[in-house]
Amino acid sequence: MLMTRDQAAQKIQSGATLYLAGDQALLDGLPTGNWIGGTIPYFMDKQGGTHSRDLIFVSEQDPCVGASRVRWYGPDELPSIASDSPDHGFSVIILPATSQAHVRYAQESPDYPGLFMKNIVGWVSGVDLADLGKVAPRIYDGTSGKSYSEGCVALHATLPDDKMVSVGIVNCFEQGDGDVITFAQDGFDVGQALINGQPHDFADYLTRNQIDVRLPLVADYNGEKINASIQSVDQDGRKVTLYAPVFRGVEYRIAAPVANYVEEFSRQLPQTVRSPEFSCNCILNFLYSELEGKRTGELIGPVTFGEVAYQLLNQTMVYLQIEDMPA
Amino acid sequence: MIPSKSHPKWVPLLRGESKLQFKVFAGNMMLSQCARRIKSDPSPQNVQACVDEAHAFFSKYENLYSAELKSHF
Repeated sequence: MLMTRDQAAQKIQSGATLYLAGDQALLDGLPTGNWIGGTIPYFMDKQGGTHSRDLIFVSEQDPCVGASRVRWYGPDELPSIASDSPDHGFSVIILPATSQAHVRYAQESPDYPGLFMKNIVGWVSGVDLADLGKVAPRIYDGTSGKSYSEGCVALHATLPDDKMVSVGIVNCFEQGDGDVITFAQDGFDVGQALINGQPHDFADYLTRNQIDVRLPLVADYNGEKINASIQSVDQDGRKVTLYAPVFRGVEYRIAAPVANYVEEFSRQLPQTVRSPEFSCNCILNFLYSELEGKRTGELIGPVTFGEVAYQLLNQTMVYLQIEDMPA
Repeated sequence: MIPSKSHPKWVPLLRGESKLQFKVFAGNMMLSQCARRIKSDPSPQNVQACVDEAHAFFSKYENLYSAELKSHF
């Protein structure tokens, strides 16, 4: 829930383990304690989508968690996140947008040994859109009192044997029925693309075909719809920049438009998801679907510059829920 | 019980040649990643490494995947 800085400080001092999101001016100088955090002033709260530089989004860890530890990872240490994540538990990670760690996690995490054996979720911290390019996003290790504009902060949590974790996504975007788009190389920046197998300047293709660039590229990962969102199209520079990397050989299509995001979101949200331990949604959904003031039910949390469900995602809602182990 | 690693249906499943879609997100992502890795490196050693990894994954999370695997195998 959204709290003032003083309320968040009191919560920290009570000894609770917390996940925090808020403006840098609020997070800086919070007392040390059992918390991790990241900068962002956009949230989905129970009252609806909110933009605030005066409030901190505070999620309290489920008391069933056995033990937690927090660690900061440098960009070269990111593969250790998966190996450090508990065998029976989960990890929540935060990466600063546009950092080396953000880029490297996005590109390399699918190949981390054992990534899918663990339950890893998280988000990419950002800034107020009015401060884009002027201020760097930050992440916080509340246990040490340190903050960083690089690397990744992770909270690794162990669960008792009678509990299990459910990680899921809600992606309102489906592949459209347009061209099949593939790429010869992995990366965030694209020059050429193969459109139905034929090479094309991708920036020119998007412009000439008047593609709505608010729609992401969507890949099908064994039935899961995975997005790569378009950040900018530079026709002169013949370059398209994305918010997540595309991967060589994966088939993408431009998404089909979504008429009503909130309606579609409610339709897709599994009925079993209630008060998750963690959830986040993408800033692009907040902006393009005008979520300020609109509600997404129990799925509340920071509105982020990227989402993590094992690997980096875009324009997606991610959740992690703790459940009873079936009998 | 997860089928043994030597079951002949593992390799086509991990290559993406036979289809099995799970209700749980991680299983689909893991299968998709295996298919991508095998496409990039179809050597017998890499294929076996993917079989080992998939078997370990489904064994760990047997309670989530055994019914769907049973229907496929």
